[in-house]
Amino acid sequence: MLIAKTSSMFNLFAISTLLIASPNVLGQAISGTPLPPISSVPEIRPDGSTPSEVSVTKGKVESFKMTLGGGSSSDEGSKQPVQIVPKIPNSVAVTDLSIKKEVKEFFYDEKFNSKASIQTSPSSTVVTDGSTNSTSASTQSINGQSEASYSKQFGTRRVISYSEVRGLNADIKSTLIKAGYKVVQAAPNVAKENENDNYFNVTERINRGDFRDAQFVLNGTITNVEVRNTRDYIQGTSDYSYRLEHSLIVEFTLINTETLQVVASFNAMGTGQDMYLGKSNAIFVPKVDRITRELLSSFSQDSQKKLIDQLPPINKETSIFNVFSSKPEVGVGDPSTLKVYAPGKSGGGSQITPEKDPVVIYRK
Amino acid sequence: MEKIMSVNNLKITLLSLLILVLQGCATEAVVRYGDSKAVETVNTDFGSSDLLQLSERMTRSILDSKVVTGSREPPIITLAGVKNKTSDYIDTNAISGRIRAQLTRSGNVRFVASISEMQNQVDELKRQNQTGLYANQTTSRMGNMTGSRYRVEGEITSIVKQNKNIKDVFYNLHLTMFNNETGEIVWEDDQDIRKTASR
Repeated sequence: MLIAKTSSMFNLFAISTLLIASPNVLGQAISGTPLPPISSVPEIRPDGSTPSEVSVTKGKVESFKMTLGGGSSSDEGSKQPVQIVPKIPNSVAVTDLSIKKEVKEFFYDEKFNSKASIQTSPSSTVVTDGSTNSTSASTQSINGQSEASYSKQFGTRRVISYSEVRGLNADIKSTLIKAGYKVVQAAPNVAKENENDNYFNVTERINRGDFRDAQFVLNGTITNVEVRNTRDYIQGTSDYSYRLEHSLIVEFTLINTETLQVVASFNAMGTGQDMYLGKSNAIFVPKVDRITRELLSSFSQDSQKKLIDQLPPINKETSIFNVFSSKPEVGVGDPSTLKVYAPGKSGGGSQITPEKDPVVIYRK
Repeated sequence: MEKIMSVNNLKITLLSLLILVLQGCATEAVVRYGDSKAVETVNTDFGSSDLLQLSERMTRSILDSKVVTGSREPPIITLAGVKNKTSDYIDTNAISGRIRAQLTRSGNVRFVASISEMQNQVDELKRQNQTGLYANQTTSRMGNMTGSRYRVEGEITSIVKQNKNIKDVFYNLHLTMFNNETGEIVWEDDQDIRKTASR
């Protein structure tokens, strides 16, 4: 009942607003005469021309209903139209590499609180002076309160964080581009508060539109990162080999964003190391840039090789080159490519002479 | 008086002996070049003829083995050394070195640095990579040494028997080739030498 009232009040408000805005509009709509365009600016088409005639379907406003509060309505007109965005053919969105970091750390927490309070009430004196008896009394109260608490906590706690690592898949993107794919950068995957393993859910990201209109998404997840620092005695010598090695294993999955079909899947590995030969008391300062370079190089080689092996062939009919290319493909039968060579007058060199009747070669 | 005479005699005797010794040293030794492969039978100790015989027989045996004849690429081998278990002093590096030289010359086998040669190898890599004296493009980089697929090791043993008139020595060289990856013995051979000296 209350909703109905509110609804009717809103209807009145809406109608009055319309009337204030343009008094002629409602009258024309009701009378069935064609409505003029709302905007006075003429529509400009992509080719520069303006439409000569605006066509508006004739009709009468029979009922006008509005609902408040976003409740479901049985009226078909209130349903929002589903916008189907066509996927860009042969396009791949490449994600940054997702990683789950798990750190165990020691914690120690010690607290001590003490609180003390003293309350003194004011003294009261009673004096009674009678003819026969005299009474004299005095009272004073003091309240003291003391409170102390002590707590100690220590142990190990596990801290889990989710993030993305950038700058490791540039060569993979380059491989895709060379293979004829259009590469789209995926939107960053930002971890929420109290994130869980749902962070790696690609389907959710596809539905969220993180990969725009890409036909495929190449999702990479770092499954293992290892750092090894070793010192080994070299047999037959008085030297030791000091070694710092970084290794990385990434799981890649190529998914079709329309069908959610896994088109390709592989694990790629990369290692990089720096070495130093020295005596037992030598100080080894590793060259991190060398380790990173080696790691990237070996990781790129491995991932490129495996990706090329499994990459689906380009669909040439719907290739982006055909879609976006305004220039027709030049090939057999195009008179502009036809050249006729005739022997020159002064011997030796050949000259191109224009033909009066150009020869046309038709495609089979 | 007699004592003085005897002391003088002793002095004269010593002097004459010294002169004789000096005369002997002054005599020039006769030096001749001989055939390095000729049979040497000076005594029953391990000698040059033994070294030549054993190394040559072992080389032939390795080259005839399936490891060498059956592989497309020349197998890469390292020498782990030959232990001396005889009562004589024998430089076993001379035996293993000679075998390695003959095998390398054949072109059917490749060798990499053995443990005893590692110090020089490590020093060279350190010099090239860690001193900062060499251009990066020209240095032999660390971590690229070739690992051997096979390892040859062995021992030389001897059995000596003698009486007043006869001395009999039996030398045995035993070599084994292991597959470094699997630990499998892929080749093994014995070569023997018997030497007898009689009065």
